[in-house]
Formats: sequence, C-alpha cells, structure tokens
Amino acid sequence: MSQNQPTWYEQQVVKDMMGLFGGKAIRGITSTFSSSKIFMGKAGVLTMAQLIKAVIDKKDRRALIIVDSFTQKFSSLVTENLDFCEVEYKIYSGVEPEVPLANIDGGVKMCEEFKPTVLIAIGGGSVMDAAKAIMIKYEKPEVNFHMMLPIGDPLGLRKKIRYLVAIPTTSGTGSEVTPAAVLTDTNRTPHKKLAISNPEIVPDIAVLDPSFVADMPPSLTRGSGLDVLAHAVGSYVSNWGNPLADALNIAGIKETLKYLPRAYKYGKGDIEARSHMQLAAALAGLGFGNTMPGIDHALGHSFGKIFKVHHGLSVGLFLPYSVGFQAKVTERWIDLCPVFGVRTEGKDKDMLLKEFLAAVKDFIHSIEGPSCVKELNEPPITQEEYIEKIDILAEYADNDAVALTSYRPMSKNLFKKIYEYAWDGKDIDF
Amino acid sequence: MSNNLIGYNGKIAYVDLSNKKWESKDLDPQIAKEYLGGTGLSAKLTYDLLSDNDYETLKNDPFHEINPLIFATGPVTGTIRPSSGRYTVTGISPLTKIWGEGSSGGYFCISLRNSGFDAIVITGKSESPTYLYIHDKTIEFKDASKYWGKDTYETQELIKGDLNSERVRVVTVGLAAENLVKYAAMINDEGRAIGRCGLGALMASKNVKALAVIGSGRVQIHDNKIGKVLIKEAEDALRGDATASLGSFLYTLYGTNGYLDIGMALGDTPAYYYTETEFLAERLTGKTLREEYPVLDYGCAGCTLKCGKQTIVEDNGKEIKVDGPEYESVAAFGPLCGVFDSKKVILANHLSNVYGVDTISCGVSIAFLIYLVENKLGIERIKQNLNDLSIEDIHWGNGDLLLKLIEMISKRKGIGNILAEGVRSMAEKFEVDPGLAAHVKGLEVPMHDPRAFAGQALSYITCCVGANHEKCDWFTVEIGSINYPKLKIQGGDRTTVKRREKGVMALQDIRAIDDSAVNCNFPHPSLEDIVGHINASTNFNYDVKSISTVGERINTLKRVINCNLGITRTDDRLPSHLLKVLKSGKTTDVKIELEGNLQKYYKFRGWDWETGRPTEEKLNELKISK
Repeated sequence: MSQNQPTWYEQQVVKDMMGLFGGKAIRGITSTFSSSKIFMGKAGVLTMAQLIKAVIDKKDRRALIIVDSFTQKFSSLVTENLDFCEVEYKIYSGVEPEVPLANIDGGVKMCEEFKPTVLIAIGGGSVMDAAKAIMIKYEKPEVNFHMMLPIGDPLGLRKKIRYLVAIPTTSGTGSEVTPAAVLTDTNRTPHKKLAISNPEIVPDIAVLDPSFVADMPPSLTRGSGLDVLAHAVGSYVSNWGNPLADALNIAGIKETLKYLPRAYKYGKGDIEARSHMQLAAALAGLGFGNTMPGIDHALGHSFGKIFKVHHGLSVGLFLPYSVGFQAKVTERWIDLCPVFGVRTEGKDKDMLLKEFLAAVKDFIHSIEGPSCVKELNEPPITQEEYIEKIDILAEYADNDAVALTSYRPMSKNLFKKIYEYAWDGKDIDF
Repeated sequence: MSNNLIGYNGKIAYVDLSNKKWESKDLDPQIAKEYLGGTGLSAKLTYDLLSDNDYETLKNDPFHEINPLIFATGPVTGTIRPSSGRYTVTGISPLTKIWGEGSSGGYFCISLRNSGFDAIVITGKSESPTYLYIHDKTIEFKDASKYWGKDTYETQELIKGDLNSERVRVVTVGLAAENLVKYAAMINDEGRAIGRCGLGALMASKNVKALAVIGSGRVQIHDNKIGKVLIKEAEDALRGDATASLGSFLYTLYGTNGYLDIGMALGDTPAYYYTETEFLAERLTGKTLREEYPVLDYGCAGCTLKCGKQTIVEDNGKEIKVDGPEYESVAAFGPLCGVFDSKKVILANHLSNVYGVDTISCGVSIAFLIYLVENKLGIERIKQNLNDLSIEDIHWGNGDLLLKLIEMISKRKGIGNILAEGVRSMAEKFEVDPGLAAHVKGLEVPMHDPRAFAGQALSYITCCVGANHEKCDWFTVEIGSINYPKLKIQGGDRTTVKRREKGVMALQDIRAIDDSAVNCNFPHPSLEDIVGHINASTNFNYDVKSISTVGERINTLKRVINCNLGITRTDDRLPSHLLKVLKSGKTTDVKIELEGNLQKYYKFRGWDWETGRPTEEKLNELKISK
C-alpha cells in the first residue's frame, strides 16, 4: 500500500462533478436497490444455519466467524446453531475498532487457509465493515480500496464466499443491509477514514435477533438510535431517493420515534422495543444504503473524530442543521412533519421548518441527547476549544465522502458556518 | 442539380417582397464547398449582398427592408446522419443589431430541403400581410391578411387547411412578431422555435406571416452507403457501454430539462436573475415533470434521441397538450424568476410558443424587471410605465405575473412595451446601471451561468450572435460529454480555460459546421464521423483539418459582418452583473477574469487586438474577400 494514497472521492474533479450523479434524471436512469434476506427474532440464527446446510454441500460448508474482542462473547449463540447444522467454523477475533486497513489482512490470511464459503460477522459497524472488506480482498486481492468506485464494472464477488452473514450487536449502523463500509487508512497522517461502497458487499443475510443487542448500555442505545434517525431523515431529505427508499425511511423514522425512548429508558427489560429498534436500523440502513445519507454524517464524522464523540450522538446532534441547510433546495422535509407530529395546515414554510426542526431537537432532548454542541456532556466541550478546532472540523467534513452527495452544493466555508451555528443551536438562515 | 454539385439542390431563391418577384440562381459550388450551407452559406450570401452603406443603414434600423432574411438547409439536413432534422434562419438581428441566427428542428426542414432550394433569401417589404407558398421549385406570394393577428398554432393549422395539403409544413410568426417584439420567434411544427435574435420580428417587419413549404423533390447525395457504415460503426462502438449511453438516455427520458438540478449542483443554472444558483430544483426537473404530468416524447425528423417533450396539463378546466418545456425555458421562467410552480412555468412556456417569443430573452427580461423592483432600482421609471400592472405584483415567485407579462410583452401593452425591447434597452429606459442588464452584445444570457465554466464565459463574449450557449456549449465539454483532444476540446479545471482557448475556438467552429451542415448539436459523434457524414452527402472529401477551416472561415466571416455593423473589442465582455462574486452555491467566490484568455483567443483567431476585426492576413488565409 502506497503512503498517502488519496481516495477517488478526494480528487478535485470528483468533488467538482459528483453533483451530476445526484441529479434526479441520472437517478431516474440508473438506480439500484439492494437488500439482504432478513431473518428476524430468536430463531433467526437457526434459520440462517439451516439455509447454509440446505444450500451448501457438507464438504464445502465452512464458516469463518468474524468478531472483535467485545463481540466474541456472542459467538456461542451462533456456533451452537452451526454445530447443529453441521457447519464447520473458525473464529477470527482480530477486528479492531474503526478497522485499520492492515487489520483486514489477518482475516484474509485466515480465509486463505481455511477457505470458508460463509462469512459471519457478529458485531457493530466495525466488525460488519471488516467482514465486507475481508470478503473483497479474499475474493479479489487486486482490488484497490482507494479507487473502488460505487458504480461501473461489477466486482465479481461470490466466487468463493456463498453467503456473507451480518449479525448486528448494536441497532444503528445498518451495515447489516448496506453496501457501505468504512475503514481507516492508517498509512496516512493523520489517519483517514476510507469509505467504500458497492452493491456486491451488501450482506446476503442479516440476522436480527434481539439477544445480540439486549445488553447495550443506555448511552450506546441512544447514540446508535440517533444514528438510525439521522440515516432515515438525512436519506429522505437528500433527494437521492426513490419511492422504495422513501417508504423504508419513513417506516424507520416511525419505529425510532416510538421505540427509541423506550429502549433507552428500559433497556433489555423492554425486549420488544429492542427488537423494533433492530428493525428501525435495518429500515434506515436500506433507506440510506440505497440512496445517500445527509451531510449530518459528514459533519458528525469530523466532529466525532476530533472530539472523540460517539458517532450516533454526533450525527444526531447535526441532523437539525443538516436538514435546515438543505431546506433551501428541497421541501422533502415537509413530508416528515406529520411523522414528527407537526401539523402543516395554515403555516408558511419558514414557520413550518422552524417547528419541524424544533420537533427533531425535542426528540433528541427526550432521550437526553444534545441538539447543539454546548449541550454535549459526553465529553463536554468548551466554546474556546470548539472555535479553535472549527477550521479543521470544516476541512475534514469537506473531505468526507458524504459531502459529495449533498443535493445543495457544499464547501468548506459552508461546513464552517454550519459548525458555528451548531454551537448554541442557532437555526440555519443561509 | 447544377454544376455537378452533389448533396445540394444547387439553387438559391431570391425573393423580393417589395416587387413581389422571385428568381432562382445557381449555388456556386465553390461557395458551397467553402461555407457548406445553413448559417455558413447564409453568412456568405448576406456578406455578398450588403454594401458598406447597407451596414450603416442596418446599424440604425435592422427592420430596414434591405435586411436579408435567409432560410437554409445544408448538405446533411435530412440525411441518415443522426439528428439531422434541422434548418436555419439568419438576418441582422433587430434585438442586437448584429449578425443573428437560429436553428430549429421538427419536419419543416425536410420540406425545405426537398423544396428545390438550398436557401430562400428574402429582402424588401410586402405591402400587405403575405405568406410564401413554396412548392414544385416555385414560390407563390399568398395573401396572409386573414392570418395576421392569429397565434402560431392556429396559423399553422389554418394555412395547412387552406392549402388542403397534409404534406405542407409551415413556419410562422405570432402576435409578438407582428408587434415587432425584439426577441420574437418563429414557430414551426407546432412548437419548435427559431427563438433567438428576434428573427421572427424581422420576418414580420417584412409583412411576412409564414412560409408554407411542400418538399416534393429529393436531393441526391454522394454515397448513401457511407452514412450507413458510419452509423453501424458508431452503434457497435457504443453497444453495451451503459455509461456512454447515459447522456442519450437522459435526453430521451427527460429531455434537456433533465439537466436542471445537475445544473444547480454545478452552479450552472442561474436563479433570481443570476444572483443565486441554489433553488428548489426538485419542483421543476424533467423527472419531476414526468412524475407530475403525463409527458409524451417528440422526435425531430430522423432523430433517435427524441429529446422533445409534450406535456399534458390542465388549463382553465381543459386538458391541453403543450410543447416542451425544455431546459432553457424552464430555467428562464422558473428559477431565474424565482417561480417554482411547475404548472405556471409550463404555461408560460406554452404562451411563449403561442405568441411566438424567445423564452430565454423573455424570461431574462421579466427576471430583470423583478430584480429591479425587488432591489428598488429604477422604481420611479418603472412605476410610470406600469399601466394596469401593480408594483406589488412584481416579486420573485409570482407565476401569474409571468403569464400576464408574456401577454403584455407580446401585445406591447404597458410595461410590456419596454420589456419587449430586451434588457439592454430596459436598463436605458429605467435609467439603471447598464451593467445590470444580462446580455452580451444585446443578446440575453442563456441559462448557463458564465461563472460556472470559464470556457463558457469566453465563448459568450466572442460568440457571433452574443450570449448563446448553442454556438459553443463548452459546459458539455467540462462535464465530459464532449471530448475532441485533437482539437483541444477537452475538459479540465472549469474555473479556467488557460491553455484551452484554442479548444473554445475549435468548438465554436465545430458548432458552426453543425449549423451549416445542418444538423443538431446534441449527439456528439467523433470528429471523423462529423466529416464522414458531410462527405457522404457531398463529394467534397473533407478531412478534420479542412472541415475545421470551413468552421473557422464561417465564424470569421460572421465576425467581419459584425465589425461592419460596429462591433469592436470593447463589445467582447460580460456585463458587470455577471461578474459579481456569488456567495452561495457551487460557484461561491468564483471570479471571472478573461482578459488574458481573450488576448490569446484573438491571437488564435487572427483578430486585431485594437479593433477586434479579423486581420487582412487571416482573411486572405481563409479566402474571405469582398
């Protein structure tokens, strides 16, 4: 791997022209919708194992389970079913947070030795994303992640891996159903997120068994839940949508508004809420995975990285500003007003937007989340340190892959301005 | 056929309206070879017709009867070359008082091509309303009194009915031209338009309401097989290449208006009279219109792209089928006027077709009025001319205002009488800074903001007719749709055209070839295919170099005509309004500085930096002489 290799989306010509692909006409000409098989509930793992048994001959029935040090504890919930269905397996437990590129190599090496036909990722976003990257490199070692385009020639996967299975242990990322993965290029200084996306890395099977998420602590429940909300709202407003994704995003928002407060408050005691939040994450994952997330994700990625704030909490915080910013070029947020309980009758658009954004902020507050930077207490940030870092925040956000797909053209200066407004919750007025 | 000229009728018809006479003259094969047809041939015919005194006369009065109005086709028109269903009209523009030209699709072009004439040159002025009936290699002067005052759609139907022929094709003017609105259009084949430069007004000034043509002949071309082979090769090269096919899919599905939100993303689509490039594009894109209304496809003769659209819309409780709207019209009546009510934009476009006005100049003129009122500029003068319009009604987003003003402009009522003169004149009448008027050489700036592409800006200021995106669509180069590296026509950093000035020049020359061949410039065949299709029709055996010289000759001659009409280097500039630095959108903080580019362009063109006139050396090189 060469040092400081930029990604395709960091090239100026791409930044300049990517807006072309967000045009409704282009979307009308070429859109795809990719989805996983989704096995829900306590029997989900067994259903998955039975399918593997039925489809793959015993001599080829080998599954590599991919976990990290935290999610290794869930392995037994899977292996007992694999044993029952006579699936040989091994466990790769070396996934590290944020998936450094070098981290992929260990998994690939194990694949080359064990020659699995099934990959089973048990974990949060990092583990699932690592599994996607391992699959690509195992099947196509020549692929250069830095230049891997989301469209164009097919990768040609599934020659070795018959099933990529994702079992999420959080309810937020949606990676179990999305074509996206985020890795970290540790060859660059400072380390740089490397986003890859391709329809062929959508997991074939997503298992949504609440047992895997029941024990999430409240802060993780809240953060990951806000990630779901940001995915669904950001994607709906992004204008990359289509009726398929729209329906899923709205369903994902409804599930989140109803069940996230319960899941946050009652934790594993309210298993139905847990289960619905798993669905919400998958719905929103299908929604944004088949369109684009909002620029709240560019804002949140940068903010989270610099101030070490949970991803979901970050993107949730910036969601109202992202929508407020896009409102100059889209009215799609108006469709979401009734979903958030905002009545639209007799109100002019400015008033309606104000009420809608207030409703989004109210929801974030209802689960004790911050809707502006000065409200944040995990960790608390002073205004001085925030202002000091605001240039670098804007620069990172502007270089984020998500910035490319904004329906409203973005720039570093605009990101900076949004960050300024987000300090104390000022409504976007530019 | 005459003089062994293949691919042509070999005849030019000269119509003298004042004396109700016409005569046919042979087309000089050397002129055909050097200028092809269409606007190139028309420029040469115009140049040969006008004396120094004539230029002096036309500088002040483009409606003078000596102004030659020329309809023409070219050797490629109506051949197998994809999208070759077009014809051209030229004249000294009433709007800009310099060279004016336009081209239009549909089927009229086929009739004209098969009429027995390669060009119809109309001079003089008829005593009473007349239309020319062209058939069987002859021209009849017919009374048009009963059509005077009729709209463009009705006139087409009435003339067809009166001539009792299904084969007749009509190009007509509407009420706007009759009232000498300076940007009045001509309309053919229901709603296809010769829009720009006010050539409709020129036609009406001669008391000509329409041309009705039956093309009963057929032009022999050099070798029909060549075109077929070229097309098969081009199809084979593209087969299975979905990416390369995206552009044609976009045209076919959504028409040119598929570009609207792409244009916004690139900072190319102007809004609020060029003060913004961000707006509610989602309400007006080609896809949205298809989602909201039944939209039918329309293709010009021999076209496979079918970018034309017809939209079914309810108007006053009645369902009507209207032509378009295409991108320029949507952008001009939509974001440029801050109007995002799709029905109002569709109807504004329709009304423009009915009355026969150029949607670009009309939309820009209306947007200019709104801009002035919103910014409290020239208010007193505006108020003095309002008549039955209320100043409170003039604001961004008023769709009803569009419809009302289009009618007032077409009928020259109230303030419409001032708007009918175009933005340059509006600034003068309203006594505001002339730099606020968005035009180049009097022609309103189209819906491609020059701040989005430096090459587009350079092409606007050097274009033969003023600000016209079709005479050099450099924006399509920068977005990757056109790539002719051999001629330096290739994308790069769109904020500059440094070291690519030659490319802008070369694309202008290619477009001059398109308008002279005559064919549509939407498909982008290889250079070899452009030449190949011309050679297939003629026996001129061009290659890329020699055809480029033809393009250069045509543009140079048009520049000479413009210089004879008073154009100098000082006219090669953008208005200050379009040099303002925007503070939002994709072109935030972009500054246009073209002085260096212009100098290089002049050098490559062989134009004198002091006078703006092509040098004697260049004229000799291109064999342009009087």
